[in-house]
Amino acid sequence: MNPSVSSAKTAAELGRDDTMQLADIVISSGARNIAVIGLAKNTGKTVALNAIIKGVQASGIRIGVASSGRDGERLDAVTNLPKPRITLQKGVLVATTEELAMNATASLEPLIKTKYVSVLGRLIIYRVSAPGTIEVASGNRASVVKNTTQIMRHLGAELVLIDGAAGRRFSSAPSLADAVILSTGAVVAPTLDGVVARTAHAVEILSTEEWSSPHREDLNPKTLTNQDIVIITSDAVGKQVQNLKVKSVLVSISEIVRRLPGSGNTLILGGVLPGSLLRDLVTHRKAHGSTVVVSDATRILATYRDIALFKSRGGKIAVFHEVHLAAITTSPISPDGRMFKADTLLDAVAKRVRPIPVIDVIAGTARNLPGHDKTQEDKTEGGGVA
Amino acid sequence: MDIDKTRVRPYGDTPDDGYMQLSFTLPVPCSDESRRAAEILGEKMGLEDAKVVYSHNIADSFSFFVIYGRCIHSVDMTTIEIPKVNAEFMPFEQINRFIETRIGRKIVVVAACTGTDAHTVGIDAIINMKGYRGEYGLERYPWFTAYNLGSQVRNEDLLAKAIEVDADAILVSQVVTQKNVHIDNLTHLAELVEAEGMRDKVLLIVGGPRISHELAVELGYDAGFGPGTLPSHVGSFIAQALARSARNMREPTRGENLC
Repeated sequence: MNPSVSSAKTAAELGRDDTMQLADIVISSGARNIAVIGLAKNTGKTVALNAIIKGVQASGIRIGVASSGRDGERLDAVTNLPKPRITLQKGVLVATTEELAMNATASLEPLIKTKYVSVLGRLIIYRVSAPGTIEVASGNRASVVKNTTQIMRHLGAELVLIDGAAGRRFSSAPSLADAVILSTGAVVAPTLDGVVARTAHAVEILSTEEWSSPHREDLNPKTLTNQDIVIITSDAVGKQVQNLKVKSVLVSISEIVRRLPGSGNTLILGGVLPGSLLRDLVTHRKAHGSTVVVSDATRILATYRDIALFKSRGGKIAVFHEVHLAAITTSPISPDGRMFKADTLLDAVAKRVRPIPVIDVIAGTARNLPGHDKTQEDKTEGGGVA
Repeated sequence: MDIDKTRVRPYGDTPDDGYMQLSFTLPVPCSDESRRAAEILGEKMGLEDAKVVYSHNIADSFSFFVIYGRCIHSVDMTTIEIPKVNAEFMPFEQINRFIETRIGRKIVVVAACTGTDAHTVGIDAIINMKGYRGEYGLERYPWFTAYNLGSQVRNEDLLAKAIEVDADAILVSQVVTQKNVHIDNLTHLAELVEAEGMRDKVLLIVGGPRISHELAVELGYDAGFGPGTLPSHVGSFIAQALARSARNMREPTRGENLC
């Protein structure tokens, strides 16, 4: 593949040309839809995305690029500071709005005009016909992202990258992405310990394990909506199953807790797991030792503190579909000017989230890579992945 | 007056002279030294000939300054792109007629200031009967049913109310933006609505002094209204967005093939 002017520019933006680890992880994961999410704005999602795009493009895989927010914009919508641009090579599919496409330096060939219209214009699927930068906004809700990725797959994309939006995590749902990259960085908390703790908490929630129970066979999670609550109680007498129809768990928390027959219940929620439910469960003796099951980790919207308290009282949280967290990226710089030593942050995060690989894309360093000594810095392997 | 849009500069006394005035507080007592410090700060900000025109002690160790100076910068306005809401703004009567004919039932909206925010001035201007700047709020519209939940509402309670009353739109106001607390709060609400499976059933709209459509879209909202928004702007957007999504529901195909 001939390196073009714009790909050289991307490499310059990324610092050293040591960005293959992340693309390697993505390719070897075998995933077809990859979500890049961040703990907050300015944690380095776009830098991670660019590294993946570059590495994957070099390997000849046909890619599609979507954003669940807005990416590659010139200036940050909050801080007004310059942001990394997204550079795409010829042949890449990209989902963005008509208005944003007009400002792209990449040449774009429209393929599919979708029915979706946002305040940023109508969403169109384009093919890049000449390389350049582009701002990507492909729909900020799960249904649109899902539909968009399906259209891109249909049009021949072998790997679809879904860039995240600010601190939103919905795009990591297994229904949208089969592997997830999580970006964290100095912006997340004022201290190193704070960044590491918040990252570890997010990882713990995202890594919530699958519900393994003989009762699972009896339930089809696909048929559950936010109006369905199932309470399963097993005791010496036998198994008891209650199917409740509610307007929403948010409206009916006290009714749900009142219906719990004894301790050791399993509560299956068709919608969200809110912090208020966990706090109520903690205060009811018969709710102790309960297991709460939701579709996937993106449904867990309680704070870490509520979750930790619930777990400390014997509570468990499980999911029907696990998120596959493939790697974490760290960014030692915050837009307010604070900065950690890159290796200190990388090491501290890597130690807490072992065995998940952790990569500083700009510095080109990595920890917890499979097949490497856990403390040894990984050097880039020449030749990339082609 | 002919203005070069590629080099827009402040108008002080004559076109393009660049003179401007700004005010700020320094955490030091008012003195000759602090007045000079204020001028130096102005110079560092790109003001030539910065002069303190007013200064005042506002507490034991704080002082307030107004400086006047010539800004050396200019702005190329031809490069600025701001997404505009794709709604045609209609007046009160027309909005009601539009809802009556195109939607055929009352539109239900639930509104609140969320999180720690207790500043209801924005949401009250849009929702309350008496309205704002000579315009009625949505409560006065015969074809809207509006619930104003007030201030410091938890996101969970806001969504619960929206589900309880089958709301078509959730309006959230964020005035307090210190340390960007509004970003986390707005993110949490959008995540909650999505996780509850409600995102396709409700319009999510945010308003506030530091809100733009770009930020709103980035955080998962349908629209973001900034300063100067009137009730009829919000009403027009909601009515037209609902009419559009009702039309989309009837379209079985997912797109038009341009290949």
